[in-house]
Amino acid sequence: MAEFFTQTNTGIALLTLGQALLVTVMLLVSMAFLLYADRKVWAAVQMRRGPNVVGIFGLLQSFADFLKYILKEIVVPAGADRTVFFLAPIAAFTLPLILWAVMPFNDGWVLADLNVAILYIFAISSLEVYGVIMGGWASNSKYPFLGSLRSAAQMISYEVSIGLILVGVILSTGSLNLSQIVHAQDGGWGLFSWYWLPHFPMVFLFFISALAETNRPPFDLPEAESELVAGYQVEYSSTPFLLFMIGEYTAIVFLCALMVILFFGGWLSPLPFLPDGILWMMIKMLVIFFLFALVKAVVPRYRYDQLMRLGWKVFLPFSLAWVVLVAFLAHFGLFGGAYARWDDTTILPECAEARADFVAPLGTDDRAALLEDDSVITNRPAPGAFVPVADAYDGAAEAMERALAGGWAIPQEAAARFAALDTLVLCAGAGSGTTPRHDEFRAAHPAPARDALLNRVLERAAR
Amino acid sequence: MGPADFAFYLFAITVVAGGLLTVISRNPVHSVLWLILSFLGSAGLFVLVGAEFVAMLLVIVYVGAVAVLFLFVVMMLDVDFAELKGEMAKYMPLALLIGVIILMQLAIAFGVWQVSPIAGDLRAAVPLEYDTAHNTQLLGRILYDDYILLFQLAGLILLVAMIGAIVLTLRHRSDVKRQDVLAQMYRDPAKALELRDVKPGQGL
Repeated sequence: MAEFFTQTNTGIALLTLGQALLVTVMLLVSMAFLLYADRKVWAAVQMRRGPNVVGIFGLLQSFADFLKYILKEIVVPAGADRTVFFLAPIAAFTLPLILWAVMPFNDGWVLADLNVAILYIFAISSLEVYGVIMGGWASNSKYPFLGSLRSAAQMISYEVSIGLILVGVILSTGSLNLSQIVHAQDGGWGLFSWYWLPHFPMVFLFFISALAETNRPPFDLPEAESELVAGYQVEYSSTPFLLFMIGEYTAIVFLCALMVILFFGGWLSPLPFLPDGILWMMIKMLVIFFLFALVKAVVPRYRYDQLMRLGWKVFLPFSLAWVVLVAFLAHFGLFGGAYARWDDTTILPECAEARADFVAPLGTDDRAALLEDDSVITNRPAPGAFVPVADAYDGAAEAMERALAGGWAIPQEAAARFAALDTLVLCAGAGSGTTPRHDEFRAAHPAPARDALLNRVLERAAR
Repeated sequence: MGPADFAFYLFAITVVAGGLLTVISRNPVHSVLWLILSFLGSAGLFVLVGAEFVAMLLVIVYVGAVAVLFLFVVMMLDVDFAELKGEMAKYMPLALLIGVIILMQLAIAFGVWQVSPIAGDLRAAVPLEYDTAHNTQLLGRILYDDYILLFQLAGLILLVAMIGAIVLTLRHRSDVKRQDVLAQMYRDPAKALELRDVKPGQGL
């Protein structure tokens, strides 16, 4: 059964579908309660009670609203472009949902562990603007059109600074993968090794840009009711309107999650002695969502030109300067390497090839000793990994000396394997290692002697 | 047919159909939307050949930025579709002429095309260290190590173009009341407010 789901195409497709459905359903259900929480926080700030009629404490209010939305009649304005009119809410609903494919909820709990996850997020969120533009245009009405133009300009403006903030985090991590960004924040200092500390000002910039990107107050100009009624949503009713709203909230919760991943260590626990887990991720997301809800209630709306000024004249230069600063701090490894947390260990192909050539004909036990530590074939060999390689070289060199002295023929394969071993000792750190075993090895086989021996062996084999 | 083949044909058909409908759509806004679908299809094709970085950049740059600008411009146009159809008949002969000429040129070019015996090897993909680095890192290495000068020059050209566009369109109008943000922020209640004790029945 397990093989069916991991080996066959149908199985993999079914498994992925199941996982995607699970994430979607969980998201949509939690969305109902987050909507309720949003309204409750809003009400509490204004000293009202908020929804409290449907279910205990009004907990089922969102479900009642949902039923009402889907049971009402869909009104399509005369002169509307029907296809685009319905395409817009579908795009606005689907695009924020497919963003969740790359979101890691816990170590390894991710639908698609993309290497370019940050770029994927950036690409999909740049598509989100189409839902708004298409909705405004297809309604064939003035207010929606103005609202959609405003919204598109706003989303594009703030995407620029969000992109630059992301660049800072990417520079520090050396990866576009979200899981690796979280792993880079796992430093043994609990919450003090997360990125909020080294990237402190960017946390605020990202939060404010996220508000603007999702058209939340105080940047909800596309739907500023005093000027534009409800912006691009004016002509929408019933289910299409519901899709717009769910899409908006999905995007908000996604940006909460992204902020947790980028600056607050994802699923890592804030105290080093507590276990990590998905619970931390949820708690952090809820705290940030609470802030989103609070901002909506306490800050008055911006004017449109002020919003544009903030985006282009304040956030853009500031985040650009920050990228340059982070690049310097990371390149020179300042502040104890807090800005440079990438792992630049790479496998050296010539070393990997040399080891494969040498190990291939060996017996199981000898082979196991040489294959145990993979760091010998990288640019950062572990000091301990040198021992088995050096031992093998000692034995092989002795045998070769004896063969040369005795005037015996050396087979081509044996010479090739000896050449591979010669490369391998260098890969393992024969030249630069600092342990006693390295010193001993260098004393026994100085580099010129090793080269001379290899040349003599190859010469003999060629005869 | 494996899943990869299926995905290839799906994306390929999307690209071709999207391109075709871009050209034959009556409504320019629909044209742009089909163009976007075509871009997305080609991004899918890039993913299939393992160039996920290029795929994402295609979506970000073309769909996220270029096509939005197209859409802005096209949406603002005050197009009368009936008139547009009448215009089409007028330009049809010229368009046909240009099309036929281009087709003939292509036919001539391909008719005398000779494939060099080593062309196949030259066209083969450059073997990169796929196991040891992601294609983001490899692209970065090529762009910033090998071709840093060309890369920076390309950026400089774009910057100059941008400055040129701004210089051409910037107008300093003196008859507009401008907002001084700093002056606004440094206003304080002591300077801006005055409290008057208004007596009943008197007014100010």
